[in-house]
Amino acid sequence: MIDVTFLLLIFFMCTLNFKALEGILQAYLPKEDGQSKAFIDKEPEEPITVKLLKEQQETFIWVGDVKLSGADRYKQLYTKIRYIIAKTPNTSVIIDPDIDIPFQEVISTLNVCRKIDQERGGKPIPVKFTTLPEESG
Amino acid sequence: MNRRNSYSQEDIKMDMTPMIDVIFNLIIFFMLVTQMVTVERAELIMPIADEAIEEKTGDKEGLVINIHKDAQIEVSGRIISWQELNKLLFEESKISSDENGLPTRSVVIRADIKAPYKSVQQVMMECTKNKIYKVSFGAKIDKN
Repeated sequence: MIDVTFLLLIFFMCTLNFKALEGILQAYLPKEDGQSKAFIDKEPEEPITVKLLKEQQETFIWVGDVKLSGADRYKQLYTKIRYIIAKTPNTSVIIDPDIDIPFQEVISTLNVCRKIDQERGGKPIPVKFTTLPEESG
Repeated sequence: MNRRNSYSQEDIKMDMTPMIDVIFNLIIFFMLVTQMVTVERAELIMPIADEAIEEKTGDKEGLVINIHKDAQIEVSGRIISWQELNKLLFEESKISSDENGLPTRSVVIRADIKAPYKSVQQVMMECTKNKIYKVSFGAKIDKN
């Protein structure tokens, strides 16, 4: 009986540890209808707009007029954003995904921004998400 | 003399009762905690992000909103409608507020890897409507 009890104890302890492997990515939601005064004051540069579009079951990333595709599109995005941020350090990123884009694509984009934050010594790049058309009007 | 020796040898027994009590208490604790975690966090295939950070104790106190791949919203093990979610967020925003009157409670959006962005966006809009700006996304930490 004690053997069984010990096995149960070990099982629950291990299961609890596996659950803790889940983490979070902060999304800094813009205050007051998408326009934060703090952002306006600190953001004289033009924001980087990252569009995520789905075409025939494949996701494409548009940064301005540059199209990124393929399996290494997030590496390309990382290089692109890092290049722009190096030139304009106070700029922000606007993530504009298509409504039917799988959530992983959005998380991967946000992950790229957080990776650049780490390189900048933890200084976060302000990231905004576009609002629904009916809500923004 | 012989009789006394044999008596004392028979008498030495380890009392297992307190140990079993402690173990049972631990098992009950782990069972309850696991169940609470499971109820709050639905079985979803989480998106992977190597830059995701582990939740602090303060973050764990907020509301956890689960979004399934078919865009259904689940909170505390129950599928809810948009009206119910709005009501829940309103109640959540009233729990505590800072000196500017903004809610201090946080929301964790846990969406399935295949959940359409539209539903995530809708949840974010509901949070903004209720002035909850401390929103984070759940992700599986993968350092490989």
